[in-house]
Amino acid sequence: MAVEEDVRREATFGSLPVLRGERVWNFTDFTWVNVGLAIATWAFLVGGSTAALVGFQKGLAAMIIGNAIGVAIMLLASVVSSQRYGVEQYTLLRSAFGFGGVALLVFTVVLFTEMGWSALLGVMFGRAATQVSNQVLGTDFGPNALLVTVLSLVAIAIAWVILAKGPLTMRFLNRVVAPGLALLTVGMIVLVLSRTSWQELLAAPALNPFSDDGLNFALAVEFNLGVGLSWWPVMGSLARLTDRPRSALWPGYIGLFGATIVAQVVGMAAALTLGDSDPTVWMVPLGGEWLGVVALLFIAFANLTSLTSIVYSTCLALRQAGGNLLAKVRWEWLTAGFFVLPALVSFWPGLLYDQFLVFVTWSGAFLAAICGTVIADYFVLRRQRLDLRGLYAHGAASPYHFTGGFNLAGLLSTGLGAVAYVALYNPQTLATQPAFEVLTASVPAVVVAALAHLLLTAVLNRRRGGYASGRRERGAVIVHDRGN
Amino acid sequence: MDVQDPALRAELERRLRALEEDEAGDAAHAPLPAVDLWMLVLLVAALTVIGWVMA
Repeated sequence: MAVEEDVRREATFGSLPVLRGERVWNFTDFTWVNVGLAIATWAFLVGGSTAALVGFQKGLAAMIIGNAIGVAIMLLASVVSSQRYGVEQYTLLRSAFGFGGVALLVFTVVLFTEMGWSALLGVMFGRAATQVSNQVLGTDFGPNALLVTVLSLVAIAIAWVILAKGPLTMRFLNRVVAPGLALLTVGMIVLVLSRTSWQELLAAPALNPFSDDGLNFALAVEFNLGVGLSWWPVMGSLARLTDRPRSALWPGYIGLFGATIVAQVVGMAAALTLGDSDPTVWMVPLGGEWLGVVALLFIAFANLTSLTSIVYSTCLALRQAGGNLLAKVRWEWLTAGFFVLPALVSFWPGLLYDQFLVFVTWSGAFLAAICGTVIADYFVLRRQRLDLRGLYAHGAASPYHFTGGFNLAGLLSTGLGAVAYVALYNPQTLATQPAFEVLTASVPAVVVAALAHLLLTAVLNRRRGGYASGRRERGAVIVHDRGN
Repeated sequence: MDVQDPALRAELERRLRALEEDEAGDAAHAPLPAVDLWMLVLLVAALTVIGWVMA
């Protein structure tokens, strides 16, 4: 019952604006938070998947371009407003999409994106543990063996138990994992560089490229753009605890661009050296029998903590967006319901894991469009000013009620941005337009969504959404709506 | 969030009042300065050029 109470408290009171004394992170603190987030096992997976398309130099270039642009867009669409108002982003998004519109996005884009990441982490746990079995017990299970499925389900079951024990257990585990992963990354750098020369690394061919070099590079950039954007669902909730605008933006960039690049480059170098894009295959060849097994066990453990963190933040968002309906569902049942789809996916271990690029770019299509809409709304239309009281007002009393709780301009703009993305690059068929190789698909999706939002707001929201008051007010943070 | 829960409404009101009365003008609530936005744009542009040159 104590856990239920903890979670209920965080899901409800966690939606309220934080006060000065609760903003516990300065520039340095938040930098370390982001570095800890960035050095995760999926960074190795991204490095390996980039190596499938391009060699080391082009891979590094793609990582720099993709993450530089993707992380910047993601930060502008999440941390800036959350930091200023001390409010987590799903409450703030009401100003761009309306109350119902936020629920629609949370129960579609956010839910399926995070379910996908959860399934990936479960399978990665399964493959890492299977490799341990192969090494220690002399078994010969393949990457898609039934044992991988069984162990993925075990990971999901353990994650569910950890979640059921509440946030305190998770925080304890995360304190162990972040420094451990940093150590693992440094160890991998040393081992990769001791196995291969710089010249060999630069000359190593991509693992599984398409015949068109230009397309391979464009896909690698687009993939890394999607990776940068994929932080969006979690960043606003963290940034509200920072003490100044600069303590939110720049640490986010330093951690999620800088530290991510380091971990991804290590993953790419290992993949090119060992000829396999799967991080669970690298550890034994790199570290030897026992060191490799220890590394694999640690990767499995680290995936569990990442899994619980993702599911915890997503289920909190579901509760906050689900209103009274989900507030009554017990925490254990809500989290168990979340795990149903990842559990089903684990019966086909290669479905997402071996199609990582496709998954990341599909989620990137929608996240890019959401970010474009949010940036246009917050920076251009509202000039960084929101009506805090209005964000919490009930129904039509809120300026953000729009049309029955849905901001049609915001939702249509997001849809148009996603359509623009798929028109330039279809992640499913891999069909591309010539412009994709120069413009990417995410950047045009952001621009189309932003321009469409400006246009549609002028047409559809002349007297709705509190845009008039946002243009008039300057100065201190608005709590009251003074002129809607 | 249950916006009609009296305890939650009371806590929200307390926080909104504190923000309005005690934290008006606090550096935490300042908008992101334009100089930071331009620096971010320049940094992204520079990193993108570096990437293109490398590729």
